[in-house]
Amino acid sequence: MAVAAAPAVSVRGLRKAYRDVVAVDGLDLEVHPGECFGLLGPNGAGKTTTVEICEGLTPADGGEVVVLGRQWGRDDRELRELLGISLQETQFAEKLTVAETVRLFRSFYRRGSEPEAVIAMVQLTEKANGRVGQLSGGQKQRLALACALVGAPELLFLDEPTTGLDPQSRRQLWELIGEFRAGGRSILLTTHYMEEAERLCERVAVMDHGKVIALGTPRELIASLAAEHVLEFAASDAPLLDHQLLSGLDGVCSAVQRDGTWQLQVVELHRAVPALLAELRRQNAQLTELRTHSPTLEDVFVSLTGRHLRDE
Amino acid sequence: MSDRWSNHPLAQLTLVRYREFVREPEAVFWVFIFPLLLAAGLGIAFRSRPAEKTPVALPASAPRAGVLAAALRRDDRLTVQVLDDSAAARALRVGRVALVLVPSAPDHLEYRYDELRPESRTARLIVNDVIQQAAGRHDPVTVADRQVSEPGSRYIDFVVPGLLGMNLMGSGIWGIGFSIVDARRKRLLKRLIATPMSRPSISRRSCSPG
Repeated sequence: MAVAAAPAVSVRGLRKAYRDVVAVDGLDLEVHPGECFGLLGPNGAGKTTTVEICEGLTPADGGEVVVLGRQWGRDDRELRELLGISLQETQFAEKLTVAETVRLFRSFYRRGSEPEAVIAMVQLTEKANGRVGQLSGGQKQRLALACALVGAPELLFLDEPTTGLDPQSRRQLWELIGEFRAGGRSILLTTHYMEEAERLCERVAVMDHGKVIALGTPRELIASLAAEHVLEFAASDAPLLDHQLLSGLDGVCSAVQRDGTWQLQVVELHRAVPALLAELRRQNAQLTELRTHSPTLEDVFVSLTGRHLRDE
Repeated sequence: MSDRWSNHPLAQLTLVRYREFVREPEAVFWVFIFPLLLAAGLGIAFRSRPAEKTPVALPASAPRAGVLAAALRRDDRLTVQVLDDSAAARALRVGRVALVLVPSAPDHLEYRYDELRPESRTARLIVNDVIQQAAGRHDPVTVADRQVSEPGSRYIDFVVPGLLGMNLMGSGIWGIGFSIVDARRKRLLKRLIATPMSRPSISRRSCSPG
């Protein structure tokens, strides 16, 4: 119980380089007990490396990692009993059935849940005697989750659990992860889906180039934009539009251009829209597109890095 | 009790490997059926045959050719052909007969054969033996022949065990190496190592039969 008060994961000054590529560059983060913590960032930001170091699968070049009050290299066996892990893209043996696979993983842990109960929890009971090779992508990810849960872990690592899934499978997986969290245990999750982080995580660290560039609850991060709305528009015959001009419009706090589309962060939509329209009319420009949405973590990432999350 | 045993990681890993094998019909074929077919095929190819007869020829033009041929035909180790001269020479040249017998004068014979061909040398010994005995040679020593053919000394008796051994060794080495490489490629090995299972279990299960 002494462990419960300590952070589930504590990382200080973590560094890792592969040859001359620096994957993680002085990273600090802390996962509170019972919390779902999201590591968010584009591909190649160092999320997987960070998680694999926390999982004890990759040695760190420098820094300190404490997981559930224990350290890799000293308490490995004990730690492995306490962790549930779902790696990115594990292919389980195709000729085995779902039940056999889960039972195999159950046999590795001293204590844990009944395989049947875990299979029921991830809603694969119907497929329990079906071959793994015949499962859909979403079902395979649920099987990976079942294998992570069967040892009744204190801490769950999920590396991009929903990458490549259709929206319905993704929502189903979110519900399952939500259920696990309801048991009061901690989760460290990586994703490049902002929606996923907003939906599941209490706190989020935005990573880029091996560093944390923003940390907080999704709400705090969005509030840091100081914008109530995001307005996207495209216009033809408008060569005179620029950052300064647009940022200076009534009710607009900043402007970014990408692929011919302007993205404005707006405080007061009812003042910004007429001002924008008036400006376009003055320049004789033609408005071809106009959209508005509430700011999301995606907009936070764009405003921090000037890039979209899924760009390479 | 038996339930606890079957929930041991090593038992589960072995069971899983066994299932993967049995559910792969090609693997079962190559490991169990193919060596049997191969052994059967080799058994047919290398079965023991009766000893071959040695072919010899007589030119038809030679004096007493018919008498000599009759004498030689009485010996069951020889097949005797009476050919005209050029055909006899050609048969010897292409190896269809091992030796050509030419009676050149009364009580005088010529054996034409290639000293470098073992069957020709055998033919010369047999033919000479038959001719001399027919002419009234008396052998001073009495000999008896006893054929010996022990099971286990035949060619096939060496081939089949060797074949089985090669197959076991091959599938053993290939099976361990391939399964580990495959698990690594699919990132399954990494996932297994991320569990509390002891790492030597993976190599131990690879060494289990199957």
